[in-house]
Amino acid sequence: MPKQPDSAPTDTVQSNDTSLPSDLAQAILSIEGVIRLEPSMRDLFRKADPRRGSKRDRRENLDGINVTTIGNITDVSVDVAIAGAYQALATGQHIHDTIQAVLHTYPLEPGHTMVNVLTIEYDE
Amino acid sequence: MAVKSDNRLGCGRDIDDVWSRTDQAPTVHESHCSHCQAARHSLSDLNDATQQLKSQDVQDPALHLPSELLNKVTSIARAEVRRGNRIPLHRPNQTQEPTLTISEQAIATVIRHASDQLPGIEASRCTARTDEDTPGSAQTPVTIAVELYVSVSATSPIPDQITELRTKIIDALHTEIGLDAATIDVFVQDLHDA
Repeated sequence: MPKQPDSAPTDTVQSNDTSLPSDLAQAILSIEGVIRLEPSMRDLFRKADPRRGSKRDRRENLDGINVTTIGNITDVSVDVAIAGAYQALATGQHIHDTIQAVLHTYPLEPGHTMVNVLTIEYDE
Repeated sequence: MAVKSDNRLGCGRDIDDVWSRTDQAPTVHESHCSHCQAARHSLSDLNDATQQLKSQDVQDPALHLPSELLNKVTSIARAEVRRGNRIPLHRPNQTQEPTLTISEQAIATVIRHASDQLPGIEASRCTARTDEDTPGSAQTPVTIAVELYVSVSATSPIPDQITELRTKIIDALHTEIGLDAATIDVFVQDLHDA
């Protein structure tokens, strides 16, 4: 029977690096069942996007995490690999809730949050 | 060379047509038309300049990607192709964008893992797509349609093996992912000795 991750996400995230993507990465990677953040072609294209860092449309990202803030509304998309022993839906929902919790520690209004389970790996 | 605003030369010919023929001998019209001859000459010069710039770019080391970066881009591109489509795993309601998705490749991994647990089954190609009749909502799981190609053992009745396989897949999809299967089409491509 696949495991379910702990249900309660932390209210605050302790981090020496105060950037939102770093805080999100730290929080997501601490969830049981999450193996890693998955890089994608979107990450490569976003790094080359000349609009990145403009005043109106601020984009920050680490591999596997894409944060877009327009005004005060922040959309977050994450791409993850999870372990086969953990149910994808439950783990994905936990990641989603964790993202919301991290966003609430910032003076930001959560927009659309998307969690993409790209890879499932089993211990053989 | 006179060019009208709609890309037509003074003689009425479309400059794109002239451009497409610069590597060929001029037509009878082009041989006697000053507009077309001027266009061919200018476009030929443009083509030569373009080819020269292209060859310079190819030789310019500043434009070469480091091999490590090139390998990373290639690796990620291959992974993206293998991942296939993204299937919604949860959407708040049928009109909103999904908040959770899963790749077709991840679903195939779960299905193959389930198949591997049956000694007489060897799974190969696997595809999954959303069953459009039941797109799912906050209250109901998303349902998918699965196609799986297998080789089965020649020592056991095929229907029994396939029935057991379907049961295994249904259980794995529901338990390990959180999806239900509307249809599971199994194609027996080959028989093998157990």
